[in-house]
Amino acid sequence: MKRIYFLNVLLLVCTINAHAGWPIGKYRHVIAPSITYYTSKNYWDANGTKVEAGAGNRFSSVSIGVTAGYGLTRRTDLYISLPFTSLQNKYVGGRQTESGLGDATLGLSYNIVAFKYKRFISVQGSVIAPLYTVTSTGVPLGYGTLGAEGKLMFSGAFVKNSYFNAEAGYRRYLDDKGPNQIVYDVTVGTPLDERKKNQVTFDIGGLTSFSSNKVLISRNPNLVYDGYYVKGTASFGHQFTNKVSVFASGFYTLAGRNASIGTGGTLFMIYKF
Amino acid sequence: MSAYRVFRIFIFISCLLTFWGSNKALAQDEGDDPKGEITINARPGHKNAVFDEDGMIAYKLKVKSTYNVRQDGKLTYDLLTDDWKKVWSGSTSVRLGKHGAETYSIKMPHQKPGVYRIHFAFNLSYYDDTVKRVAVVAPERIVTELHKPADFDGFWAKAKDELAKVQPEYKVTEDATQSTRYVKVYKVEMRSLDKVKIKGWLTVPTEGKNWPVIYKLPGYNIPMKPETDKPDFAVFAIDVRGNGMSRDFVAPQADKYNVTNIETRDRYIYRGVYMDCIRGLDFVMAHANLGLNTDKVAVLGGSQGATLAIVVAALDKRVTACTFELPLYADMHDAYHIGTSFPQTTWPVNRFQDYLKVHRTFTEAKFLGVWDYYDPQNFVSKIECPVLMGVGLLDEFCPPRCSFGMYNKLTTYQKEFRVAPDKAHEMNFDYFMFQLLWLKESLRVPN
Repeated sequence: MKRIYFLNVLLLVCTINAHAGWPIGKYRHVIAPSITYYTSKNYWDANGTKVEAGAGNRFSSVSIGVTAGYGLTRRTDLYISLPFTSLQNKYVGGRQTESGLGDATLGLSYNIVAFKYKRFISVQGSVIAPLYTVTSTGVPLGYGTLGAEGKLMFSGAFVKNSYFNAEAGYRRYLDDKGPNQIVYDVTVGTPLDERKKNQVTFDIGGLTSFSSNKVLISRNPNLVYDGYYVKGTASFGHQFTNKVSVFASGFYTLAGRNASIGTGGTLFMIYKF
Repeated sequence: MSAYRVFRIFIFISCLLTFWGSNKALAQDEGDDPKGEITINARPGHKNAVFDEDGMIAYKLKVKSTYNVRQDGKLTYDLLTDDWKKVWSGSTSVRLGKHGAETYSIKMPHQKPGVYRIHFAFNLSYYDDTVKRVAVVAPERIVTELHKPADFDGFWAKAKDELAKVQPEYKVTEDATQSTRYVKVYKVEMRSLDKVKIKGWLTVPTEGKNWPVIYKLPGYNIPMKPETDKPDFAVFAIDVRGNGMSRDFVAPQADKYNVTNIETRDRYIYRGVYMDCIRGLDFVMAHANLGLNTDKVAVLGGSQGATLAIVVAALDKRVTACTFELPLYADMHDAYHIGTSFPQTTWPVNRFQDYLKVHRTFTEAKFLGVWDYYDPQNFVSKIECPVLMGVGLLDEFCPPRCSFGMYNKLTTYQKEFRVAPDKAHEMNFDYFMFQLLWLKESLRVPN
């Protein structure tokens, strides 16, 4: 009955990534609180050339978020995500700070196909709503405009006990300057022990953003208008019980254009009930 | 030497030569027969061979030959009822090239709800074979007759009353040799009807508490073992009387188990067996202290275990969910008829037949009269929890018609079934994966 263990791990990793293709399951809930620290100093310019920022310049942010999911049916899940972010932009001679609720996300995912309950193809549609206003002088907490996203996801068993999630989508912000973005992500994970209590995952993801605003690098380097970035993430997770797991991950931006070079880490818990 | 005698010797020698020659030719023919294999893949037009009442019964046959010669012949397809009455027949010519492959689309006229056998017979130059499949038409509209005695409920109420008077004398002992870091294994003993001692295995995950319970009932003469590989559930697997560990008091021969005391309704072995299953549920409900969530208990079983799961869910409302596959003994009247319609009577009907042959005064009517008290079909209307059923369409022990007929008598608010079209008395991987998800859903276990 090894398949049962596999299933548990698969479900776990899919829950970690709230956008993965495996359904939560009818009547079941997932709550995933998280805290993320991010910092950046340098950036890639419009040509993709690394630009060293001078001493005394640094951007950092701490985000506390919660993602909740509810299984409406066997194939359909409802997701909601709420972040609270605190930003700090230090520069020579001063600093700017901003705190507040960020972009809320409300989404529905639908599992189109389950291949022998081992691999799954799902679609997800989300709306993104800013819970803040962008001021001309402050550090923006996000793009500050309504957005929508559609995504296709493929998840499931990989080689031996390992598993994967691959997804790609299109995100459109409802502003005449966009941005409009292609988002993508590939995750591969493997358990470290027979009972699959511990596991590591590796993830490559990013976005390519299009906007008529060709040169802007936001004061919040998380925001990319006309450019791209690719980010690598490594995570370690431990399952305490079949309801509670905790993951720690570290990430780094590997490449980009009109985007900041940053690194950070996330600690998050998954509670399923 | 007379001319007549010369003639006889001539005839004898001629016959001898002819016989030797023909044998030689035959041997040569056999030696010269082309060698090869033909693979036939028969795929139903509808998923899982479940067809609509109004649509054709369609199959696609992919035929591949490894012979290095062309083969000609005929493909005959017969549609029969599940009790082997021919309904329709058709044929088409076959021309299969050297190492050739062909696909044949077969369409048979729509049929009324029921289970149908389909025989695809290939008669080719060097190859004869028949591929047998079973299709089901409108399974949810299959109607079978109910043979429920008027005093059925009273009969089982009395049995439960008798059981209630037996002190269970539960004994729970951890089996350290089988416990692991993740699962505690307990050997459990208790007293059931007629004070018979029965035993079982309880497994409880070591992490966490308040575990939803899968209560597993045994198949025919299948000894139960501790279930140490279900990390999200506690599992109680019971050996009913005469099964596995529970043979101290009742120990019939394996092949005579289901005819033990069959001639007396009140002493038939299954009366005690059914009550053993209720006593097992009593045990689960009385042991929340072992980490069991007694508000979330699913009964599960296959074959005979399916019948036992049905009986427990019907007779005891403490059951949260009921899942079973390949329900043995369902609709014994039709099952008996279908079992005897095979060219060779199938199990378990052949065992009952054997008994009837030896015990002439115990007629088929009397046999069915006893079984009317034990037929799971007569229990299902009392089930009030969600139900999942699995059916193997090629099952000869548990005729699918009987399974569906019983299923259609379920009145519970949530029921569903899954079909394994190419399986006989077993289900496929997909089913068990789905069953696990179904159990998690029914018992609200997080995915």
